[in-house]
Amino acid sequence: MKNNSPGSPVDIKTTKPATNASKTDKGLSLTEVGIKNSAGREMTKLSLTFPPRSFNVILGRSNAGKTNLMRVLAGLDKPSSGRIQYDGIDVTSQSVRSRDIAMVYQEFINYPTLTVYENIASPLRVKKLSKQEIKTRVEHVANLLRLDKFLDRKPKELSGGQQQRVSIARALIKEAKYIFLNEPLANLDYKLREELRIEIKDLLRKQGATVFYATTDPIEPLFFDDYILLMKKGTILQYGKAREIYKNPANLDGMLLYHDPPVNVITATVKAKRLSHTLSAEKIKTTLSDGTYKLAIRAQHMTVIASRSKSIKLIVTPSKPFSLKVTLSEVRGSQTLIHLENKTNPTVLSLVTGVHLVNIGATIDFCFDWDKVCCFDETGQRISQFLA
Amino acid sequence: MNKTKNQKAWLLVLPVFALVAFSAIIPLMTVVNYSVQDIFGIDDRVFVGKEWYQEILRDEVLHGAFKRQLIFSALVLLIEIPLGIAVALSLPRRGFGSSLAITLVAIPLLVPWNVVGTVWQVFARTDIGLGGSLLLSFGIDYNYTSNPFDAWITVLIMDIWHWTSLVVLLCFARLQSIPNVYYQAARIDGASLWSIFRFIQLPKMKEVLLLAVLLRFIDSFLIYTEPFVLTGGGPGNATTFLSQYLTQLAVGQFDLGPAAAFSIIYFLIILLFSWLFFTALTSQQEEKLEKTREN
Repeated sequence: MKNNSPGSPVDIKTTKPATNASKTDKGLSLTEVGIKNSAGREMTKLSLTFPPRSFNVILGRSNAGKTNLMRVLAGLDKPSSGRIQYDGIDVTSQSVRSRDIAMVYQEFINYPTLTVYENIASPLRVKKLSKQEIKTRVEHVANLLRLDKFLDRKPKELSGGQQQRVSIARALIKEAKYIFLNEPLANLDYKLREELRIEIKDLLRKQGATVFYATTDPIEPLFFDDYILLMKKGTILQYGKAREIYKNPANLDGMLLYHDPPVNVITATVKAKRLSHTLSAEKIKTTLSDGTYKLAIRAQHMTVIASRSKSIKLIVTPSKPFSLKVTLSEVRGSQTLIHLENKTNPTVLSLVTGVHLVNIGATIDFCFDWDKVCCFDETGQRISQFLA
Repeated sequence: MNKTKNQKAWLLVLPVFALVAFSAIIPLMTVVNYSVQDIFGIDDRVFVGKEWYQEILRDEVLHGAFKRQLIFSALVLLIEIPLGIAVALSLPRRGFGSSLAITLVAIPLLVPWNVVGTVWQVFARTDIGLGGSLLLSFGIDYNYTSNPFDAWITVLIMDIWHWTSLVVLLCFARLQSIPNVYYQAARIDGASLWSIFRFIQLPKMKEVLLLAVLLRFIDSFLIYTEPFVLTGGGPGNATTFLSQYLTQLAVGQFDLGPAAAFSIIYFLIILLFSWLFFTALTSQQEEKLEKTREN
């Protein structure tokens, strides 16, 4: 994936974004903001601050309220209550026209009768810039997005990926302080999605804007590797650094949403400071009080015991080994996802590196690392310390 | 690629062909037959060649009617198309209001031609008509039965009332198909209402507008019933359009030969204009296709 944009990823990290950097930057903040979803129901009130120049991935299933949130943040909809500030300035009642924003949609939105050049130039023409300046900037952005050969064409004459590049170019050329991308890659095929994802990361980082990127794809928060906002049914589950939340999810819903590779949820019971779970007859010392709990184990942490001594050595706090029966196995790229079951657990998943032929009906021995297990109480809230 | 010769296709087309023959081709050929003969009785006819055509082309009354017809169709297009777009743009897009508005707008289309004529004939009367007497009470000297200008205005407004709804419906259907995100994107760009119309709405309506122009042209060029009921072509010949003159020739004076020649010319004119509009419409689409093929 080499493109002709200058600079390697290493450069990007060391060079600070030149534009928009100032000490007055306070990012985008919400105070008690009420948002109505498309059905007119009120979502929970939000109070949040998005740091300046952060890349915020908003992750949630369809109908989680991602679009509604973005529309309110951008100013396309007014919040039903509360205040929104851009860099400390209240913009709650400011119209979207006067805000410094740009937006890219899932559908490839371009002006159908205008050429690619005119499309990219349109935000600058509204700003009444000189023809020469428009030309330089359009050519620059077109180069970055590899559209320079298509400037005379109409959007309909381009492929889907190129059409989406045009709308991204329209967003970039504005040099807006806030850029909103609403599932921009959802309508593209796999290969184009991969390509454009890398370009988006590269270009937007150089732009130095605060970015909001809504997606349903759980791999994207770690890919963009900055902030993540987890949403479910109109509520915010958690907001923070993507890596941090991957390791320390605050609740089970969030962990299940941000789930690639998949997460196994195992029921556990505590009786007299001993925790037992349904995968094996193991009883482990715990600090928890009596009750039912949920253990979440990511599929890649379900370790196959090939030769007992070798596998277990790599694990810090190994669980007792247990056997599971194979019901299905799927190869994903260069990994194999094995579907397993035992009497009490309908499906347990294990992700193994490499392409393996696994016989259905065979039994395999597994263990997991207690250090990698997340424990949740019955309401789904995380309990960070549970091992004694 | 193998081209299979399948003669069955002809058999399948036959019923349609027979239907078209009975409904269109045979009547048309009868008219062609009349237009080249002088007919005195069933077995008493003389071949006259192009004589009727020459006569009809020299007919001063026809020239007048033709001129009137062209001006009328042009005015109809110039007023109804922009007005239809404007109304379509201002209708509510969603909810109960939208359904209500579209129903109200569609009502004139459901009224039969002769009823439209009668309604306006009464409405525009200065003694008992609401419209006519209202104009009089404002001190406007209005009388469509004696003043040619008033008659023209009345016929024109009647046609606008009757047919603008068609343009509105066609445009509205297209406007409804524009996804909301386009308007959002335009708002974020800071585009003006004019730019939104020029670059989003108009391109979307282009094809349907050509259709509207075609339909309104043909229909206004053939107008007969409404002016016949309203003004009877008067005062004098002021609102006598082509089809009414044709009826006078054929049914009133029973000049079947010239009337038939006239019909053929009339038919050819409509065919010519329709062809012009149609090629304008399809050539654009072909251009598009070619461009996409080049890629």
